[in-house]
Amino acid sequence: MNIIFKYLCIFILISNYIILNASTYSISGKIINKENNKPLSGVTVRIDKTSLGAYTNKYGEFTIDYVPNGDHILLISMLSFDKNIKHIKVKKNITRLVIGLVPKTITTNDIVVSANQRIQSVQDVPITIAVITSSDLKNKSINSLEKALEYVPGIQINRDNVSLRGSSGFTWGAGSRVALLLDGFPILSGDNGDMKFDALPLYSTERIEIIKGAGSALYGTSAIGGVINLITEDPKPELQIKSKIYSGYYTKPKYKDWEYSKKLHFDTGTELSISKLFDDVGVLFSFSALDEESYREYDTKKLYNGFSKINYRFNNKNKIDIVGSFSLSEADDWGWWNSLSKPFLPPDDVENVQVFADKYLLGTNYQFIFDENNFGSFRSSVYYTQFENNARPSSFRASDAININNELQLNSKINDYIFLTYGLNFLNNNIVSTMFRNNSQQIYSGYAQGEFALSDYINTNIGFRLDKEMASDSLESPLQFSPKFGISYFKDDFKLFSSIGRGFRAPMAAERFPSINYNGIKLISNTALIPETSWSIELGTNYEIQIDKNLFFIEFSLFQNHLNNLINPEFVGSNLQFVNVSQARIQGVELTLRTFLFGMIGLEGSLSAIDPIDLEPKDKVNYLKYRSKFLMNGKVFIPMKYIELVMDYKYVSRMMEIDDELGSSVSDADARVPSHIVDLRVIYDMEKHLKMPLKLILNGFNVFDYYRIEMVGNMGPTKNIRFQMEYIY
Amino acid sequence: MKNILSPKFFSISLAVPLLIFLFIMLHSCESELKPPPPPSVVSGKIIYKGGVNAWPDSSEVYAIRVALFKTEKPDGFFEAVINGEAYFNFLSYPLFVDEFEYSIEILDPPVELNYMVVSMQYNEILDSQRVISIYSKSNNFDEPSSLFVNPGTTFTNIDFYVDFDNLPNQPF
Repeated sequence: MNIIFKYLCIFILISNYIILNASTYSISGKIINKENNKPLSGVTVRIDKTSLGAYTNKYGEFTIDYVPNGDHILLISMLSFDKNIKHIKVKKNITRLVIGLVPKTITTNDIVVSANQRIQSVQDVPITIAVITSSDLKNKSINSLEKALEYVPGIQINRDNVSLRGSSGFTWGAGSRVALLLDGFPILSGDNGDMKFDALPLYSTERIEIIKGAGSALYGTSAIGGVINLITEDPKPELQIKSKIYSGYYTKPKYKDWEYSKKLHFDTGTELSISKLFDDVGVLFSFSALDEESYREYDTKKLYNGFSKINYRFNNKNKIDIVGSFSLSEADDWGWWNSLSKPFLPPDDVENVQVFADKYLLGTNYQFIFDENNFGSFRSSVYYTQFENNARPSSFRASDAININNELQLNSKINDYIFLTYGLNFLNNNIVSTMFRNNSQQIYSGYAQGEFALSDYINTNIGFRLDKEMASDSLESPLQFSPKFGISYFKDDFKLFSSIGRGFRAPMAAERFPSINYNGIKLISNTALIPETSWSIELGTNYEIQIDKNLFFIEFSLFQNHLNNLINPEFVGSNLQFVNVSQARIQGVELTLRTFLFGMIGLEGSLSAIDPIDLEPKDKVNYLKYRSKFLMNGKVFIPMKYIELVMDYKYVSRMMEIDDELGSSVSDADARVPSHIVDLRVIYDMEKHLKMPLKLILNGFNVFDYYRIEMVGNMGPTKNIRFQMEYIY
Repeated sequence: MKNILSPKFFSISLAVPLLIFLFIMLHSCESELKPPPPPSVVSGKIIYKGGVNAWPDSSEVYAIRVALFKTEKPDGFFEAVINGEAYFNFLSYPLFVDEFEYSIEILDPPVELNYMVVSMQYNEILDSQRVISIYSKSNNFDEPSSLFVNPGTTFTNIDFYVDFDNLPNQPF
């Protein structure tokens, strides 16, 4: 299969060469801030439904070459500014185009790439997408993905699992029901199929897009509950050096009985990023180091991450992005608490064990343009994860996994109303493990989807994907057919949309072949597992309204996800085993509100009400385990001249069901309460005040020191006061 | 429509979420996890009159336990245990000793203990129990004393005196 992709790639390179001389024009101009007419640097200017685009330099200027003859839509976007969409007719070179952007007061998601694997205006997308911006990541000193996701509407973090609208319970991270991508490269580990939260280049991340609902029609396995895509920064036209240091401490427990240490525990980290665009080559390097003492004993961690991104533009029709990253960590193997009397200490008889984990990613994305209506990309990546502990032989665990992904994608603009995306995908997981046995898994896929503009206001989206999984020592999986259909109506600032799609998830080695004895719980294999599937449907609307200079954004959606052959860890006798146990139905509503009042105070809030029902047994109502019924977020921010005050609030209602059998291993397993977390932040921007390229941030996490579990037998983080200094040159 | 655009509307827009937030914060303080109260414990000594030499023949002694009954006149040892009306340690205390310090955790205080005894199991059947001492402040087996155990309370001097030659009347 790999050979086929190699030949396809060579064929595409040759074809590009042949058609390179087609007649094209250039567009150049300047982007300014409409309020003060000053040039804006770093603005993204792209041509819709092509891969052509540019960033503005420090004078606000941009040039896009090789633009085909005809009508085009320019998408101009920048964080903190309202998007601008401009229709242009190209029949000769266009110069001196001046476009103004208006600073915006509330965060809306204007441009997205993850919905259909290309840049497009969010109004064309018939699903709900949440976006975390780089300023959110930086200002909150976020160094791990799960901390970034905590405040996204509809997301619940169950320690190692991300549950999007109730999709996942708790499986020690194995078998994520949400696909994770870094610049489009899949990065779920090959053995566990889990998210390595700490192995991601968050300091170089421009934004994180979260697609809610089944996305298997485009993304294949694991996208049963949604897709999370981290989009990293591109190298900047001017040399950019930025660095950040932060340090914080956990306050002592407010209850004397819980004090476990006389000294304060600190978390300290540093991050550095350098980027520059030289003519046709752009380079970005970043590095981070973290030393976590944690808020509990025997839970320390040391982490080193590196990331690089190199762009090379052969010409304006061919370019390649090369992405590489590594992550090295050493951490205590914390499992669960001693008891509610000693929640910050491990059980008395626990062995002192450290886990050493390495993760490496190398990915290339070659993008090419055939002609004005046809372009594509070839993505290839290798993701290697390895870990082992230093326990005595009876508890020794180690696993190496290589995830290789190759994808060829082509895009064709048939006319102004029809746009096609289609491609082939091959995924291969190879595992060498003492825990999951040596095995391999391959998934061969093909997909196609069409976007059809039925009128100026109505877009539809129809697509499907075929996936065939083959795994060693396992039952043969049936061919997976994942169709999807979406429709959206938009006019001015109103949008109504609906979508339906099927998702599937192939079992991972960690679910099929485990042989683990962990703190008294024995996990055994089940080679008869088959893929779990889902059908998800969503109906939603959003509306932007301005009342007396105050802007209000309202988003509302109804969703239902029906899951079949759900793979859950269940106690079979005294052993734990992953089994295809249940049919489930998850229904819910989600409401998001954002506004900026009186030109001085911003308010954001969201509420997700979720009803996750296990449909078996049929004689009584059973909730799916490890799910909460209500999730609520709130944010109040007051931007002043150079100081901004921010308060975040997160509410998660009490987890409805857990595995009762856990009580035999975990003391006080039933100690669970609703979660109310308040974070406060003061941001002092010295650039705005003293023209110094410094930003000082004082963060208070969980400022009321509210005690709740984040998972059974695991107290959530306690009050943490953290100071951060960021330098951007 | 005019009303919607008024400053009053905006004041309400601001005040309502803040009030909701304050309500939630005040409410949340009640629901957080807290350290469980310290265990309630009843402890003391079992003192055998005449020491180790006064014990009956080993074939007549299978186990020794302290049993703390909620009811003043339990119907039977086994019935009380089954119905959750008694606290005791399943494992036997040491046999053929001069004295022994016992300790029993009371799991569901507050509770009133109205009948506290040392019981000797005389064969393998759990129901084969013989009361060999009753806690009494007046040292009179016919006048059992009671205790009211509050959460976190520890009683340390609840001592029992056993005289194998002068056993109390058997309650069951």
